[in-house]
Amino acid sequence: MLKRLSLLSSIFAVSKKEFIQLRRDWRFMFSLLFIPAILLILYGYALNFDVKNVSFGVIDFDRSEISRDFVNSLRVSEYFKLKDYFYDYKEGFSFLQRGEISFLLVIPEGFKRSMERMENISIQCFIDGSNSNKGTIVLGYLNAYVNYFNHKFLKKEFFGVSLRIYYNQKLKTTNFLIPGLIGFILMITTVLSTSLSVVREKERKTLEQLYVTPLSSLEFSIGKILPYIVISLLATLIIILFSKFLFGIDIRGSYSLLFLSTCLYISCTLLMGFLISTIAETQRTAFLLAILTSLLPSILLSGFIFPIENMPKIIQFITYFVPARYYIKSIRYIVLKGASLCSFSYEILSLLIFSFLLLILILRRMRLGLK
Amino acid sequence: MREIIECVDLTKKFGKFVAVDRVNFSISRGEVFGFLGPNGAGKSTTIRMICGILKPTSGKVYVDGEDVWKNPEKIRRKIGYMSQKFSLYNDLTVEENINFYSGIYGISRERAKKRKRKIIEIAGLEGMEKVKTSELSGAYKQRLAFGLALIHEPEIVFLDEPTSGVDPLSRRKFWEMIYSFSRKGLTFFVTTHFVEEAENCQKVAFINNGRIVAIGSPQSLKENLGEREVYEIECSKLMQAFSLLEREGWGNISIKGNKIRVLSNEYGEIEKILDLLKKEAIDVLSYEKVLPTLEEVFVQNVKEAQLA
Repeated sequence: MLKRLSLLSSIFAVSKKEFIQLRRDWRFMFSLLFIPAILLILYGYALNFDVKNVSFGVIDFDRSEISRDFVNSLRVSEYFKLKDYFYDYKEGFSFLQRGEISFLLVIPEGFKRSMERMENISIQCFIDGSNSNKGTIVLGYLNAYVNYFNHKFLKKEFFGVSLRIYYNQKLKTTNFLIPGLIGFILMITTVLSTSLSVVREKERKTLEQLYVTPLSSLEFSIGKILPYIVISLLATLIIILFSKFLFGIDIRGSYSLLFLSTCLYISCTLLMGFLISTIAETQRTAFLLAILTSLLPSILLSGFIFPIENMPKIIQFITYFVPARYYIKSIRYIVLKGASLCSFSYEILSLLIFSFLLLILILRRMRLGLK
Repeated sequence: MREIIECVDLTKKFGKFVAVDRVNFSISRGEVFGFLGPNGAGKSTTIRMICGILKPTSGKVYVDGEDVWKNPEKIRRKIGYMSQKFSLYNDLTVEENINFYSGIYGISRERAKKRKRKIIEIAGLEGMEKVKTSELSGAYKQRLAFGLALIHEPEIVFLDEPTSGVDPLSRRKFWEMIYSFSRKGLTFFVTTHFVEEAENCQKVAFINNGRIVAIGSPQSLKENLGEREVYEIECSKLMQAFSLLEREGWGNISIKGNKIRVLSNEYGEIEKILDLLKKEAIDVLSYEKVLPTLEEVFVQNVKEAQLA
């Protein structure tokens, strides 16, 4: 009992000291709290895969009311914007080449006649494929419009599939991106924050003093990480409020689940930073290591932007070592689907195991440092 | 009563490099023990093994009769440690530094209050509890670090070059403080670069290349130079005389004021020296045999150890 009390008292002493130091270093504290929100705003607006206001040009050889009708149905939508009518291919292509239009529609002569006779007729479309992602999306939209137009014109009941999209009805990319973005931003800021904490004590030689006290590596590590957990949770709260009010993201799932997974995730990433700190000898090395291990993997290997299923097997294997992978899936499930714990229990368990392994590594490292 | 520190054949190897080589010594309770040696001689490696931070390759250390490596945590409650960097948290106030260490040692609230008053008294920082440590002068930092090393009332205090970067007056005061605690039965283990400071110790050990080359009280070390004698010679053409003697093979020479100090290689060598000076037309005004300084003893011991 006495032993346990002294354990708590040492952890408390370390946390308190760390917290006072953080408070004194207000620039650092401010960065920890608000840089995530600033990153969210920057990335939230910049990273947008929605295709809107795509300009296009038309060469109408038919000049009938039906061809005009078709073009009009495109121009009134929010996705397309009519740049101009052209009279020949040459003019149209020069606009396409300069990038002033993203696609060029060519309506052939006899369009009206064929439509009225219900004959097959094709319209030509030249799409700028230099941005393949955008091109594919435009193609999809166009197909949908052509179907819609056919349907309207022929006034026939088609046999068709009725689609209903769940969880992100408008298929807005912000809904998909923001939760991932939260995982990505938290990874960088948390890994960075603790990566400097132990190195600083090494550089100032205060760690040397702690070695001769009865303070154990476990007490030291936990005591040092606790204040960062509190601050990172606050930063998460701020970031979630921002995504609600700026990007209209509503949390469909339970707040306690979100809290649980966030706690686990930031413990995991804070421990990662802490491990870096025990390895590095200078703050500069620690900073570089932290950026390298957090920034790139959390963008590329976390499923934040690029689906993990599409990666080569070997890369897929590496993603298992990126904690953001687990959190991004969990937070998407909670925020977008309102899912219950059982649908991402594997992710939660992985984060738990990950944190545990990191802690063991840290304790080994710290003890190694002594000898 | 047993000795408070006993090292028995203490050895530490880093790969093939032998940092500390079969070191044997003991320190009695209440003693001020001086540990001298050039950089890289194995001073801090030895200290770290005694403190239970570094595991010896072979040999044993006993603190207060107990094997350090059987229970390092228990030993850590008996020792205090103050490094040359003073290891204070500069962004914390004086009081916050004290509170932090009380917390780490798990000192009860009642006792912590008393200890805090005591440390502030030792450091002479009354009324400056809320001052940030970074704003303190070197001497205050030193005394605060000293006080913090005593926070848990240890039995031995290790002072690793405690007076580097402190002015001579504060250094003097600092030693007075050490004596006052040593009279109360506290043991001190002091490493230092300043040989003259070792004169303040009751027992001194010289370490070189991981080996103890001489150990004893400053007095006994000075008397144990064997056949060798130290002369102070007052003469004309001081610099010329200095280089002459150096050329002729006397290694341990120094200039003190208007005199030359020479450590002879054997008994009665002064005649030889006087002859030599006469030949070069250097007038000797006076000469006398004096007691060697600790520095001369130290340099001589290191030289002999290197020859051996």
